[in-house]
Order: sequence, then structure tokens, then C-alpha cells
Amino acid sequence: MTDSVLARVAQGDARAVHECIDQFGSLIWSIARRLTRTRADAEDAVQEIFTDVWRSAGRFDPNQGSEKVFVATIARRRLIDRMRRAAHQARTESTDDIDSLGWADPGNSAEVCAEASAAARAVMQLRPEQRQVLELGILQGLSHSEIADVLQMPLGTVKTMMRRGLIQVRELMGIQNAASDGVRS
Amino acid sequence: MSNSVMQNPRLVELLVQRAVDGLNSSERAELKQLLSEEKYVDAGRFEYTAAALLLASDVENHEHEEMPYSLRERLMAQADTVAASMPPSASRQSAAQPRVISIAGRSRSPTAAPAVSAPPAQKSSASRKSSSWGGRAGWFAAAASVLIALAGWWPRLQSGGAAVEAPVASTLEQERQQLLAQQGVMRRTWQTTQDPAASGVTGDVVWDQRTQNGYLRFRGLQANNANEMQYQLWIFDGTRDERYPVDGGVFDVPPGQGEVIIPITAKLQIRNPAMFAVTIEKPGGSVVSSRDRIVVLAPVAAG
Repeated sequence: MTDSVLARVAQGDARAVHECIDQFGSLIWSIARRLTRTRADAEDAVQEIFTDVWRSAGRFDPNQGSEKVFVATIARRRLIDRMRRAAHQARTESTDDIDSLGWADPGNSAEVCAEASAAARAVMQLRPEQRQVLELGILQGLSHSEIADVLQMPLGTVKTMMRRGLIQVRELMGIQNAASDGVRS
Repeated sequence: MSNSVMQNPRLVELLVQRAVDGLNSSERAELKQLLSEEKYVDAGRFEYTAAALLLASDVENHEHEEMPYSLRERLMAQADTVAASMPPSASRQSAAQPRVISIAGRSRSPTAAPAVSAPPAQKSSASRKSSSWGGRAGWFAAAASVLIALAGWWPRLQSGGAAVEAPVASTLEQERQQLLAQQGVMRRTWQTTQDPAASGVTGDVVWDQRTQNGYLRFRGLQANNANEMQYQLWIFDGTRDERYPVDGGVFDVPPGQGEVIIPITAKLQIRNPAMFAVTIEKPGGSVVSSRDRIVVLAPVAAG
């Protein structure tokens, strides 16, 4: 009974298919609400995401990271695809709401998985402007171009800051060559 | 030999693009081509890092926002379809098919563990009837009135739920005893109703919340003709809408059996078991029970 729920889905355990909803439903719903414009969009996205999660369960490798990050990776990819398809322009939240979004306090994250805690600590070590680029791109789902518009920066600069920011965060998280392309398209 | 994507600037660019913006079809094709040329150990690194960063935000702190109930029901139906399409596998057999029921009504071997007797404080069967049934009647009656309208929301069950023969009785009895020996496993004795099939029935339900496994045990439960009707277990979960108990499986009782032991095959995860109930249903069981014939109940709180 120590197998993860994703491992059991991969093994063909039908009950685990349902357990995924209990285990990851709230997380996926939260991510979808953040990265979609309306509740209806979020509901459609959640259904698509679960289909992806079940289909990709066999690619989960516990040595590469937690189930939560694996599922969040799948959710983000699906949501990004949807945003791009819909020529995403606006955000669900008001500007005030967007401004209030940010990284959780890594010291106050008992409920957060280990990778998320490490990521929260890592991002705090970035330069403020770099952190802002990551916030806009990852927390708020803006594209590189949209970030460039918002911050009045050249697109190339935004791309460079994003790339370096992700690399730095990863290095600061202390993860070496983990997370191979487990959720390959 | 495995390489790092960091050795290829264009690959890095595309992977970051995928992690943040997504890729168009030509970029996707280019990425696929690049990834096929070498074996990379870290092609998912940027998406993974982005996901960890997303979790590092306050997303997880907002997990208390439950998804809408209607969405959850749609997902459950979706899960039913996925589960039904899974190829058969040994590992799936016991957990995946709620309608696969084992019967353990054969004579037990002398070495089999003795049946567990009811605790001394247990009320008599006769006195239990009115209190248990009376207390739950309103619950069921109220639920029955809305079940028809909501039938479409009920998690769809797999069709063709044929009961199958079980391993020998002693095996199930031993398994039950082994489970009972575990810490934290609950056991509740049946409370009978006035249904004719319940007359003289005794027994209990054993349930391990941790492993989501359990067994029903009956003595005196009427044999059924599977062509006419079957027994079905329902598990009420305190965290779910009480109108929608979880299907615990359909089972038969062959004639001439002193005792039967039935493994529980809950279709969904039971987070907070509140009550176990056995009804009589049409052959194959019901998606939505009319609850016309409730045979026995085992409220968890009464234990």
C-alpha cells in the first residue's frame, strides 16, 4: 500500500483513478482558477488536466520529484496551451488582485511540499526585477511578450531574465538533473 | 551517454518557451527533433522548476477552495470511463471492480479463526430494530425523493457485474482476522431492519481506513437467487453528500451457508466512514438504490 496513487493508476488500479480526484482535485482547481479567466474555463481545464494526469501517470518517477509537482507541471502545461489557444489577454483577477499575488513565506509553509519550500526560498534570493519577471510569467501566466509590455522591457531582456531566473532557482533548489522530460507531449 | 540540455542554447530557449509561453506547432516540432537527437536527462527541468515555483506561491494555501460539486461529479464520471477502459491486470482486479464479489460460504476448516463475538454491551437484535431503522428512515426517505432527479450524477457503475466465486472460506476468514489484528481497524456489528431477509441476521463489518480494505460477515442472511435479486453494500462517507453513498459491491449468498464473508470493494475512497448499509437490489445491482429493502445497517458512531 506504499505505492503512490499515480503509480497505482499506471498499474491499472481503477480505484486510484478516482483517488486522484480526491488527492489532487483542490490543487488542480486552485491552479486552474489562477490561470484561467472564468470559472467555466477553469472547470473545462480541470477536466482536461485530469485526463492528462491519468494518461501520464506512468511517467511519474518518485526519484525525480513529488507527485504534487508532477501534477502541477501537467496542469501548467495544459493551462498554458489553453491560454495560448484563446489568445489570452486578460487575467481572471483584477489588477489589485494581481499585485497581491506573490511567493509564500518559505518559513510558514508547513503544508507546502519540499520542492515548493525550496523554490520559495530560492526565488527570494533573486534580484527583485528578476523575481518580478518570474512572478508575472509563472504565477500570473503572462507570456514573454506580455511581460515585456507590462514592464516596458525589451522582449529579449525578458526572455533572458526568465531563463536565468529559472536556472538560478533550480540551482538554488539544489536539484541536479532531476525531472527529465517526464511529461513529454 | 546522457547530456544536459544546457549544452544546447536553442534547446534551452525552446524549453523555457514551453515552460512559460507554450509552443506553436513548428516550435513543438523543432523541440521534438532536438530532443530526439540526444538523450537528455533534464529536458523537463524548466517546466518542473516553474511548477515548483507555482506551488511556492500561495496556490497551495488556497487549496481549501473546493472545486464545485458539479465539476467533481463530472470528474468522477470521467474517471469511471477511464477506469472501465483500463486493460485487465492482476493488480487491478481486487480494487477496480466494485461488483466483483467473493463468497466465502463454504465450511470453514477447523483451524480457521473463530468468529468474533459481539461485545457484551451490544443490544439485542430485536431492540436494535426500532432504534436503528427509525433513526435512519428519515435520512433514506428524504434521500429517496431526490435520487431520481439526480440519478445522472451518480457515479456510473461498470456494467455486467457478475459475482465470482471466492477463494476458500478459510482464506477469507484468515484475511479478515489478520486485518482485525491491525491497529486502528474498526469493527461494527450489524443492526437489522424489519426486512424479511434480515430476520435473525448477525455479523459485523470490519474496515481498515488506512488500507481501505474490509470484510462483511453474516450469519443467517437469506440465500438469494442471483437471477432475481442481489445484495449490495453502500458506504456512507461523512465527507460526501449523504444522498450518494459509495457503492461497496454486489454480492450473493448461496443456500446452505452458515456464515459468509464478503470482501468490501469500495468504488471510491472512503474518507470518513459514517455507516455501512446492505440493500437488496435487482440483479447486477443498482446505480441508484431505491432503498426499498434495507437489510442491515452498521453506523460507525454506534460502535
